[in-house]
Amino acid sequence: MDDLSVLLHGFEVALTFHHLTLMVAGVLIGILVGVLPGLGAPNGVALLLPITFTMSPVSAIILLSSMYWGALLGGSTTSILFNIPGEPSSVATTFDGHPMAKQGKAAEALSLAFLSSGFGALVGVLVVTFVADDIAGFALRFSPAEYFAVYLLAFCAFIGMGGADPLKTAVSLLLGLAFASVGMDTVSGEMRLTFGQDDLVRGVSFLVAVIGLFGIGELLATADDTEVVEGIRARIRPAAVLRTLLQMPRYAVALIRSAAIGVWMGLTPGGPTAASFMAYGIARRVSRRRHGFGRGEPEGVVSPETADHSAGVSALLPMLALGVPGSATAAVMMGGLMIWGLQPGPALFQERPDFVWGLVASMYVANLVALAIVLSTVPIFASVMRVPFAILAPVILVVCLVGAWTIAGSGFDMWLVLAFGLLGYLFKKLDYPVAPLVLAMVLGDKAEDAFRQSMLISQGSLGVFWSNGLVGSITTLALLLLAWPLLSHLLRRARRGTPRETAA
Amino acid sequence: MPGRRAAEVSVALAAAGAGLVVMLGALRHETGWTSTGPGAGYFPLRIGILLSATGLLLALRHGMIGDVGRFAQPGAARRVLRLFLPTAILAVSVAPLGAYLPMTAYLIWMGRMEARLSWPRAVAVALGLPGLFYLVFDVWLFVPLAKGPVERWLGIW
Repeated sequence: MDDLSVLLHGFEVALTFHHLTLMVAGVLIGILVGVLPGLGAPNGVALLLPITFTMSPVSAIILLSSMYWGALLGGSTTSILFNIPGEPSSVATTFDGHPMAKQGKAAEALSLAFLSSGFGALVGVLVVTFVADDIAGFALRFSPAEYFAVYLLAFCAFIGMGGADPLKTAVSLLLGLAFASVGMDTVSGEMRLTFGQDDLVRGVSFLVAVIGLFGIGELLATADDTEVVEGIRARIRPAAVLRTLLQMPRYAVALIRSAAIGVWMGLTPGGPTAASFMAYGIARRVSRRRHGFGRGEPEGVVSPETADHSAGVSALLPMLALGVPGSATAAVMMGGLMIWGLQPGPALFQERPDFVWGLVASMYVANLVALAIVLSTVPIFASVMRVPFAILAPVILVVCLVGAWTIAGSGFDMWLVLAFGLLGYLFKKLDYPVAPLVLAMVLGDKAEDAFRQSMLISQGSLGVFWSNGLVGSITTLALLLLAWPLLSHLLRRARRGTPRETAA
Repeated sequence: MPGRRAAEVSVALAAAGAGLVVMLGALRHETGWTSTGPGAGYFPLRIGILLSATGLLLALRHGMIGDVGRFAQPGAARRVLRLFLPTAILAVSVAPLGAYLPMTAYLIWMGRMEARLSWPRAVAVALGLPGLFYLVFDVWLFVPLAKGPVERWLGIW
């Protein structure tokens, strides 16, 4: 950031009554979406997108991003109270959060989770504030080859560092790329992969895919389980929050380490889910209190929550500055940006500074708003979980179907959303990650265009991806990440072969 | 319920099959070099090849190592279908019948048959949610949801 005035101007944009109202609304919807099964942040953004078409882009992004912060907090709530992660990124919070709640320390666990989230978000937004201009300026020098290399890096990072089975991640990613290429080819105008079906000419909407995969698929997978939900009631008193706040310095090391992991995973598209698992895993290995992990150790709540939020917040930066979203939710938002007529990328910083800095300023305010709201409304939202699944599920399914209908009012989309629902169910049951598919659907066209333009410039030589130091190092890094699962497997095997290594 | 291993192999093979479909689709276009650079089929063809290869690799791996355990708990298929089938019927009837009537029928069915709600409660949910949608979409946002022949026949649309 070159001077503070752009950020101050952003605050002027963010701090209007209209936008503050949108923040509160977004956070409330977000917490609800985070708490409810089958509705997560990506799905919530997809469902809300059609109603933002009549808003100004700044208002729309403030509403959607506030919803994201609310959803992240709502997801942690159910993790702790019900042992059910409301969001994939709050799975790691269940490991110690739920045991804490069972020991009668629910209020402490919740306030600890929320305050760590707040810290993580703050670190994330500070990083965004101070490096956004630099990254955007850096990206201004990008030619199509650099862009393709960055997209490749995003895809390979998912495969190499996403935490799921690399082959399954690759299937998910490639399916997404295939869906993205359905419809009219932007270069030649030819109809691709439509097989003569008129309905496919428009292409496969990523919003329909998100609603099917995350919403319907998730609910079907939940219906599959018979587990009885046993919730723990909690009320957070201001005194408990204050007491937890005073304890926070005790976790300084964990906070800083997890925030750093989160920021890194948000910037390189590993996403909040991988970040929270990684932060938890590292904390369990290196913490002084590692022996209590899994049995209600507060640090086991602090670490994943901090990383989750710093990753969630910083994932918006590569989306804005490079057009490469750092998480599934950011990918859906980026799709929204393009529908609103904005081109994410460095030019956005020059053409629409009010949009960029309004969003950044709103991230400071909305996270504070979200923290205040979630601390005071936890009992109300937790009571939603006591509604029987048998009636909650149909209601959420109706919301999903209506959401899919409002995207384009197309009967074909309704068949598609069902198909994606079944795909999501199978993916969920067999541990295929869904986020890469969504990311690939949003980025597919852009990646292909960048590739074809670079090839045109180089007259068909792949050498263009190593033609200068910058693009060469990005491409090489991408390929290294792609090979990482194989490399680490070989390394481990080699190390196991040496006799000095005893117990593993 | 098929075992976990059968499920893994079938899904991996289905992915490989999808890759084949993508390849066939791509072959209808120029898959090599054209005057505007790589042709329209260039990218999809390679995506299809990679998808098929990855799918086959996965199928091979899961076919060889024996995944122990079940794909899902016993009775899961019935529970999932009891949720999915009515939902599928609702989804495909929105275009021909409008959103509101199928939605109400669906919520009454699910409320009575699955959640075992009392009649008043089931009706309250089945009328309340569509009512809310009407206020949000038709009245507030001016994005009217689909109306069908019944609404037209009643003359309210």
